[in-house]
Amino acid sequence: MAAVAPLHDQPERLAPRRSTPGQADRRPMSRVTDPALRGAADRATPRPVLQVVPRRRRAASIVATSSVILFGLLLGAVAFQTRIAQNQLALDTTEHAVKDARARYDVLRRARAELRSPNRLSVEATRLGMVPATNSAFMTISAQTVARMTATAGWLTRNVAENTISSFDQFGVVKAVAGDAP
Amino acid sequence: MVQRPVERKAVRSRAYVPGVFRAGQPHRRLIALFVLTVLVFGAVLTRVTILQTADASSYTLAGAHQRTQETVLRASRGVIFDRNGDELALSVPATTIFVNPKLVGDPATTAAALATMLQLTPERQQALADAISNKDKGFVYVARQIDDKTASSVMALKLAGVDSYPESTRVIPGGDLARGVIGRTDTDGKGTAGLEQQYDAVLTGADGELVRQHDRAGRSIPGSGTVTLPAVPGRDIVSTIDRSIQFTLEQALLARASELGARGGTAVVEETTTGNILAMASVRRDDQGVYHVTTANVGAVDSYEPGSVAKVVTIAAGLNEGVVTPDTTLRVAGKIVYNSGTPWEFTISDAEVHATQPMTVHEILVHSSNIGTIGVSEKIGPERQYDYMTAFGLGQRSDLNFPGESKGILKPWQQWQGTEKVTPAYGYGVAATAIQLIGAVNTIANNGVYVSPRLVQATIDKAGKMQPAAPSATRVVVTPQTAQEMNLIMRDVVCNGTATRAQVDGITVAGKTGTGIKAIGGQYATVAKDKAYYSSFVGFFPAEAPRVTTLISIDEPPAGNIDRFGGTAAAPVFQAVVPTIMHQLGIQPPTTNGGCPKK
Repeated sequence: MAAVAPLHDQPERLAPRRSTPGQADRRPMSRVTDPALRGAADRATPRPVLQVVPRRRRAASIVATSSVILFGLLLGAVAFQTRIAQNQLALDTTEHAVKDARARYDVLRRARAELRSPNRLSVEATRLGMVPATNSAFMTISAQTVARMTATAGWLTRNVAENTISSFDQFGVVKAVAGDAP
Repeated sequence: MVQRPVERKAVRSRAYVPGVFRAGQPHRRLIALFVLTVLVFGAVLTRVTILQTADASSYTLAGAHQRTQETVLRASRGVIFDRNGDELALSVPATTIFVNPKLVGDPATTAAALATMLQLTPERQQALADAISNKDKGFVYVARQIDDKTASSVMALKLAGVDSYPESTRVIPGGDLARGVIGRTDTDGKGTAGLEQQYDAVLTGADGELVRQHDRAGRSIPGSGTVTLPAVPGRDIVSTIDRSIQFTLEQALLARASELGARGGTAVVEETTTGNILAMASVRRDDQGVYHVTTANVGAVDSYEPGSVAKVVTIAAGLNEGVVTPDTTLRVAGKIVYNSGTPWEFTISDAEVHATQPMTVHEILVHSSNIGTIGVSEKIGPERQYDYMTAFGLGQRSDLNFPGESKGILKPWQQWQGTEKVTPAYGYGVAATAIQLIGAVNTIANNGVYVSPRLVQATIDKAGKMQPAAPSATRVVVTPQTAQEMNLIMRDVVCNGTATRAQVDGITVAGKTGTGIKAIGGQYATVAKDKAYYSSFVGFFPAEAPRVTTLISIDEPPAGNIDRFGGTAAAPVFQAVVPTIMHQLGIQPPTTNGGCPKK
C-alpha cells in the first residue's frame, strides 16, 4: 500500500516553486519551451509533486504475523490456564467424592454390621414371637430323601460355588483401592 | 537582542499581584522535582531491593503461609473382625463441635441452645456456659465425635463462635458383644483396654499431610495441590472370636447367673487343635441386681482356686508317670485330719460322705474324690506335681499376653508348707485364670499336646492382603496314651459322674467339674450358708475327635442348695451352648454311638 503525502504538506512542497529573484535562473528551461504557452502555464494553479513512498510491506507483514502469533500464544495460554483450572476443579470434586464415598462406605458398613448383629436379630426375633430352642436334636436323613431333593433342586454348580467372595475379600478389594484417600 | 536584559529586569521587578499567576522560575523547580523524584525512586528501589534480598525468605514464607493450607490426613484405625468377617469394632465418620469463646456474645444463651440440641445435663450446660464465659480461651470442646446428623442440626443454628470439624469415632456394632475382649479406645482413638490396647500399634496407622494452596474462597489453586505424605491406614485384625458363639455364650451366662442369683460368671470356648479362642465372656451383677456383660475380660485378668478341675492335671500326671493306671485301686478314706490337736489342724474330706473304701483311679476322678487324688499326688511327689502343673500352663501367663492378664498363683514346690503339699493336687492353694484352666484341660483333648491360646489369627495389611498370624506354640505334656485314658475317664464323668447335666444328645462329651470355695478376706467360711463358691465345668466334644473345649464358671452360686456345684451350676450352660457351637463350626455328630451309652 503506497503512502500518500498528507494534504497539508502541499504548501510546503510548493514553496520552492514560488518565484524569487534568486531562484529564477535555476528553473529548468525544458519545462515550458513554447513561449506561447509560458503565460498559460504561469497562470495555471500549481500542482503538487507526487512522490513514490518506499514500500513497507515486509515490515508490516512481520509486525502483523508477530501480532497474530503473540495473540495466538496469549489465547493459548489463557485456554491452557482455563483448562488447568477446570481440571483442578474436577480433581477437587473427585477428591471430595472419594472422601464422601469412603465415609459412606464406613457408615454403611456400620449399618450392615448393626443389622447383622446377633443382639438386634435376637430382639427382632423375640418381637416376632420367636423363642430360643430349649433343646436340639440331630436327625439322620435317608439317602432316598437326599437323592429326591437333589433331583428337585440340583447340586450347586462349581461355577457358582467357586465364585463366592468372602467378607474379607470384599473388604480387601476396597481397602486396596481406597486406602486412606485424602 | 539589545532589549533582552531590560525585559528580564522588568519581569523580575514585577510586583506580586493577588489573583495573577505568573510563570516564575521553572529551572530551579525542575531541579528540585528531579531531585525529589530521584530520592523517591531511590527509596522505592532500596526498599524493593531489601524486600527481594534480605527479607525475601520471611516474606516468601508469610505469603506461602497465607495461601497454603496444611491438612493432617488422619490415618484410619484398623477394623477388628470376628473370624467370619463380621465387624466387632470399626471407626466411622463423626463430627466434633467446639466453640471459640472470644467470638461468643452471650455465653448463657449459646450454652442453652447447645444444651437443647445436644441434650446436655443442667450441670454440663452450666459448665459449658462457664467455659464459654472465659474469654481468655480460644477453644472449648462442646461435644466430641457426635453423629453427623446431630452436628448438622447444631451448625444450622449458626451460633456465633460455634464451629465443627470431622473426627472419626470408634463403635462396636454389636453393642456389648465381646466388649471385654475387644476393649476400648479413648476419645483420641488410642487403645486403652483389651485388643484395642494390645494391638494399638497394629491398628493405628501413620497420619499423613496434605499441603495445598488455596484461594480466598478455599478452593485449591490450579496445579498447586500436593500430597506431601500420604496417610497409611492401620492394619485390620481378624480375631478368632465367632460373633454368634460369643452372643450365645453371653446370653446363656446372663440367663444362668440371673436364674441362680449368682454374682456373675465366666466362660471360654477354645478350638482344640489351634488354641483359637472362639468366645470369651463374663457377666456380673451390679449393685441394682441387674446383670451385665463386663467391660473387663475377667477370664484373663482374674484368677481363682479351680477346685476339682485341677484333678485332671494330677491324675494325668500319675498316669503319665506310670505310678498308677486307670484301674489302680487305692484305699480312700472319707476324710483326713492333718496336724491333729495343733493350732494348724486341717481336715480334708470328700464331697460325698463315705467311709474308707477302695476306689480305682477312674472312680476317683469320676466321683471327684479329694482324698483319692491326694493319694495319687503322693505317689508322684510334690516336685513332679509342680512340674506337671507348670507344664499344663498353670502359674504363668499364657501366650495370649492380654493386657492385665494374671499369671495366677502357684508357689514353687520348695515353698509348699504343711497341707500346701497336698492341696494343689485337688485345686486349692493354687489360683488359675479361666484361660489357664481351659488350656490345661484342652491338653487332654488335644492328645496330650498343650497349645497356647490366641485371640488373633490374622491381620489385613494396607494393600488389603490377609497376613496369617503365627500358629500357636505347642508342647507335649503327656503321652497320647495318657491323654486317651483321661479322655475315657472324663467321658464317664459326664455320663456317670458329677457332670451329667453337661450331656448333649447325640454328642459324646468329656469333662470335669470343679467346685472351689472362695477365700473371703484370706479365710474360708466354715458355716455352710456363709461359704462362697466358684463352680466350674470344663468339657470338650466330640470326645472321639475333640474339636472344641469349653469352660463355664459361675461365681458365687447360691451356697445353700444343690445348684452350688460345678455339675449343677455351670454344666447346664455348657449343655445350652453346644448346639450353637456345633452349628457354627459345622460339627456333625457321629451317626452311631454318639453320646452316653444307653442304660
